[in-house]
Amino acid sequence: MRANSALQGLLLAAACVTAAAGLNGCASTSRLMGLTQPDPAMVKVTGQLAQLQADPQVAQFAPDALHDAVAAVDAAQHAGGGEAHARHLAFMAEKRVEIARMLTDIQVQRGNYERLLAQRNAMGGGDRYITTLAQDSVATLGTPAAIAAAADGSAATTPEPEAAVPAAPAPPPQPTPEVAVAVKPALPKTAAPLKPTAVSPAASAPVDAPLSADVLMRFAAADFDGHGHITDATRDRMYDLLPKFVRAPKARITVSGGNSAQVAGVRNQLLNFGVPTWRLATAKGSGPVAVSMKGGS
Amino acid sequence: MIRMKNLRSFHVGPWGPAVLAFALAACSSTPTVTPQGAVNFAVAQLSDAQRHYVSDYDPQALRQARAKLAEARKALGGEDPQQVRDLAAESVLLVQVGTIKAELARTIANRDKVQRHIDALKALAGEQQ
Repeated sequence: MRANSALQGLLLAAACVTAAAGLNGCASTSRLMGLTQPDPAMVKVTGQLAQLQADPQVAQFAPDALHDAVAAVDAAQHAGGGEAHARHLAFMAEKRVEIARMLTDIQVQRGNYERLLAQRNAMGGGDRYITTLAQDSVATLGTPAAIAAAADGSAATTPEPEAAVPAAPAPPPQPTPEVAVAVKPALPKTAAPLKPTAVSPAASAPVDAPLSADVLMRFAAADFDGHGHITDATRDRMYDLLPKFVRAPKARITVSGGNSAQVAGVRNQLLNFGVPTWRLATAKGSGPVAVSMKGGS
Repeated sequence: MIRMKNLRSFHVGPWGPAVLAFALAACSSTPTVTPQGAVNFAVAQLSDAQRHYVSDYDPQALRQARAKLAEARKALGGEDPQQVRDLAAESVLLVQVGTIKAELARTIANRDKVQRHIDALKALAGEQQ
């Protein structure tokens, strides 16, 4: 008999919980808008959640956030504990849905970014310029030692014997995607030898000196490897120069300062970007390597 | 399905209230955070948001989060600890929204920058021809 009473109690408790859940299911609507009018905010959130659930990208890129959103919307639909708490749960549900959507968008945009980055690096030479262009530059511009001699103005009097000067050591070739080879612009065969012009004031300023309308970029020693090639990070920064070059299609670009290998490294990268040779010049300077631009736009 | 006829004939018995209390307690098994602890957590999250430059990308979310936190602090003196916890949780979530929105804005900005690089590379290639 006592066991029977306990069972009845348990059943009553279950009934109470079920009834409470059923009533709470209407809580967010009845409390906020009356018994017959659904809460517009919850209707909106529920619709947004349905869109999320129908989007396979959300399940792929933000499964945890989607799970949280589903739980939050469910909690809001079955809200209990007063009107303020119901509003709170509705607010949380709305934000959880927003988070799931944004996390998905981040992953999608990251994918787009990676795709564009690969395309850009293939067009701009990527890593290959170190092996291909450095060798080209030795052929067209002379060896680093010859360039250095030219920069010192002593090329005519003390020419470097070709046989005595080893070619610029190139790092081991790195595997590159085929698409990169296909779209890489060829180094202009008409690249003029480096003929330093007058000393450039741009190359006399320290690395951290403020840039100006003329001086677009300065390079620190860390921007180059031991061979005067620019590093990957430096090349990434150099891409920011290109829109400025395009906006001023008649402007001349001068690479100055640093040592001859560094100047050649920057110049080669600009050539590899597709900057026409007629726009490029080099100049002496006592400061770090700098890229400056002058002339009409 | 529980019929009304059956409900009417229910005899709760001596164990009824205890079982009901146990059933209700089981529903609230989540450890409860103290109101002050919830506020402290929200404060820490707001401070952390500064590291992610959220104010640069979504200052509105941070303003709303600060307003919620202020409300939570104000409610600390009241009699409803759940209200404090709710407001603090909303503040934390707003910071999360701001942080994620900032990350999304950064990602889109990076994508657009690389697209501009590609456009410039194409234009320079056109100059050579």
